[in-house]
Amino acid sequence: MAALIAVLIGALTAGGVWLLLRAQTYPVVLGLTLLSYAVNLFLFVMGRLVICAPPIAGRSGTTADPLPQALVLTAIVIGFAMTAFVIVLALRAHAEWGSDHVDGRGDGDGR
Amino acid sequence: MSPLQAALAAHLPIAPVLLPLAAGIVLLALRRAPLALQRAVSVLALLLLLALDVALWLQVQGGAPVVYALGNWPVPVGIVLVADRLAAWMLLVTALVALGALLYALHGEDAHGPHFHVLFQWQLFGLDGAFLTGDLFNLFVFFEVLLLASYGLLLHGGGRLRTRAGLHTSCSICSARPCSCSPWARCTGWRGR
Repeated sequence: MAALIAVLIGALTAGGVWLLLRAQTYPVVLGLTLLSYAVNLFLFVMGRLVICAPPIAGRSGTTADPLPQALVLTAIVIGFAMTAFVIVLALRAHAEWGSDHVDGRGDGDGR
Repeated sequence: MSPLQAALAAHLPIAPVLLPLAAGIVLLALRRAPLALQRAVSVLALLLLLALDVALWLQVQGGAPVVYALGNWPVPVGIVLVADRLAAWMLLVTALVALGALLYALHGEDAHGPHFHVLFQWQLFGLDGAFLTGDLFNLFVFFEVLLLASYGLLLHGGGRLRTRAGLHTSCSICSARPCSCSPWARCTGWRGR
């Protein structure tokens, strides 16, 4: 299972970086989202992969680490807010520059 | 020592976090008020914060860190703030730098947009919280508070060039954020073992 998760994190990161390099605002936002998914998954896995165990600290028996879960929950919420912020910023940049290139130049095809 | 003084001394570690938050809320309520009033409230709050930081700095000079349990909940369940000498120094430096920045902004920068003082106070809220927090989780939360306020300040005033620069900066910070989370993950993973 660890190998599967590792491949998944790698694929998400690769997709995120590729989209980031497109230099158009919408793919860049999508790329940032994919990157944050990859990191959330990475954070989550750092608490070790445990199946069918309650996230309770300080008990005997098999338990899942609750700290990465809480951290990831917060990271997801904050990632949501950041995505909304960057989308609004991208829309405003598009309105002011008439192009969806991240540098505001060209006819918006990313070249 | 009077009961009021004793209560103030007992709750001193949380005061530098709550004061900028409260000042930001008051300034948000005053957003239609004249700019002079907003400026007065903002500067007054910052001077008060500086005084609180000095008081906290004096309190921790003995060397023993002050631990403040929020709601008096014990450590594994509740949240603690820890004021040691480094935290007190950082709070003092933050307030001093903020005072300089605010005085410079009063020169006219804050008149370009409506919410400068609110964002400024909330950024101080995030900074003070990040220095005083006693655990990694709340360090993360306070970091995000100060980052969100800084994004607002970054775009304060608007305009074509600022929007483009803001887009660049936000994108690079957003992509750097995952990288900065990784050592965090290592720490939590290590601690969970």
